[in-house]
Amino acid sequence: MSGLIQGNYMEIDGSLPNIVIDVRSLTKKYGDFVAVNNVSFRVRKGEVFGFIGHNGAGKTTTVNMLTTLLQPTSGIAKVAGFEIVKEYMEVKKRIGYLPENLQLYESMTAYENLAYLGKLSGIVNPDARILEVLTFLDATGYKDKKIGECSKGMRQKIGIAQAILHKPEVLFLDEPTSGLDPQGVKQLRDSVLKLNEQTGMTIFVNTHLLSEVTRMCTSLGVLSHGHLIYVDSLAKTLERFKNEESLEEIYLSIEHGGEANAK
Amino acid sequence: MRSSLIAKNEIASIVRDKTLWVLFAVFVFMTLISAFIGWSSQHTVQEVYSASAAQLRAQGMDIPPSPLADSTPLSLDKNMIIYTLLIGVLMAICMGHNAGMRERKASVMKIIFSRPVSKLEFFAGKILGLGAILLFTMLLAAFITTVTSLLLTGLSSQDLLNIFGFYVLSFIYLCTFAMFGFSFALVMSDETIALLIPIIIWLSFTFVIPEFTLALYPTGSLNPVIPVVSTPHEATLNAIADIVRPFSLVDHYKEVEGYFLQVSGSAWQDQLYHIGAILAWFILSLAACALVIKRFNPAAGDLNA
Repeated sequence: MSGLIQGNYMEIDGSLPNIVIDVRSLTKKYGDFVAVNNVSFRVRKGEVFGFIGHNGAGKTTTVNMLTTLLQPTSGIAKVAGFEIVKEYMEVKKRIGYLPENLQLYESMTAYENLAYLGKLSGIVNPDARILEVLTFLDATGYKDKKIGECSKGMRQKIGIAQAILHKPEVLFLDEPTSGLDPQGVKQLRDSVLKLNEQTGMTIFVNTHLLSEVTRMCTSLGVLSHGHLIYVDSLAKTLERFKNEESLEEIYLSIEHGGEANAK
Repeated sequence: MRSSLIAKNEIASIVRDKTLWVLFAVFVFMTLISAFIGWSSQHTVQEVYSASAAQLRAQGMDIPPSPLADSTPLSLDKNMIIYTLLIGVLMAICMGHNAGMRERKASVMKIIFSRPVSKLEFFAGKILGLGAILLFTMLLAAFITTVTSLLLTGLSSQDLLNIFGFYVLSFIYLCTFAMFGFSFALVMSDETIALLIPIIIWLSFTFVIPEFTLALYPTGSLNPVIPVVSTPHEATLNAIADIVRPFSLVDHYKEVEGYFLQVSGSAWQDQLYHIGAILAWFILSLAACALVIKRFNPAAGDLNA
């Protein structure tokens, strides 16, 4: 089965090898307010999964739970094979996270930031790995620059660098293109695609920019007011909604229950 | 261990902070000249006494004893009590505030806690680093006091022990306020208010609460001597002072440090109560900090989360 619309649970396709993110009935409540409501989905190894939704839909809350920063109210989830509540330390060892609005330590250089964060991840001598990652991201020129002197685009590159230093199995990116100029957006997108292609890293991208989903993602999920209303591969989505002219129209169609608009 | 890595990073960050350097430099400078100021004051008093005694002797009059007859070498450093209460505590609050705010302002709480780092490891490391810097400051001040006093007056082994006791207690006192600065920095969403609240607490302890204890007496602010004649409303004033005194951290500190610097003339047994009160406030500040850390939510910890 594939392409269930407005369903709460969805499999990307019939067979499910190599699941790295397995979410079942995940819920987060703040008092009476339900931020994430009974969300279930799975992401396979090597996918670039785009998690889209309007502001306040619950995307960041979902990511915070999957990155063990927040305890769910109910439901379970496994990331890289480990349960996010009971085995949270094992999850932390296997994920990388770039949150929205990362500033980093401004009085430290890019290298010093990465060295500190790398050691916190358990890398004893991070020098060689830092150089390797900066080379990969084409950011070696920033190595000795203080973060306070770096542009937003440079910081995002360093932000990605810190997230992949320890070679995580799953990389979480929360609104990675937020605040970037068009060149910065392209550079970041290219870095993410290169990372996925060359290392096979599974990447989970929170975004409300549909243009980035079409350019980066292999599958997507749509969150609306805490409910997961759609999840499928990008290719099947574009096929299903071939009458719509853009992903924006597809998204609006999904949001407003547009199964009638499919085919 | 990650706590030691975090502590080293905290120390390096404090050292990089130019604002804190100003407060640190002022404190060290005042420590350096404290003994000299004390010596200069005493020297002036001694010169005036000598000149007066010579005049009285020439007139065949009795010469009263020197007011400095019973002064001790460490009494030259009595200004250190005020310098610690004012400059030292302000420095400690600012260090604590910056330690609590640093990662929040850098918006790195999420990336730190998405790593295999527990809250206990992280905050233990932060507090260790903060404590290490305050300890270094007190050790440096102790060294300066020892050297300057040795040069000016000479010191006995008892004097050295007293200097040690003075700065150990000062370290505990500073740590109490550093924990206030640290705790409010973790809790408040506004950076300015996070710094303002511990400063208000400090001002209340230092200037307001003492107004209801020793300062109730007309000359209490200048000379903490119980008056030998009755004062108006003495019973009421005494009752107020008795209620407030246990909570007057500054009075406890002045009493004990006055003992260590040999300016109060009280017995060591009397200090146990005051030391106990200071330790109780220190433990309270640590307990409050522990509660703040327990409730701290890394997902919402960054200032712009």
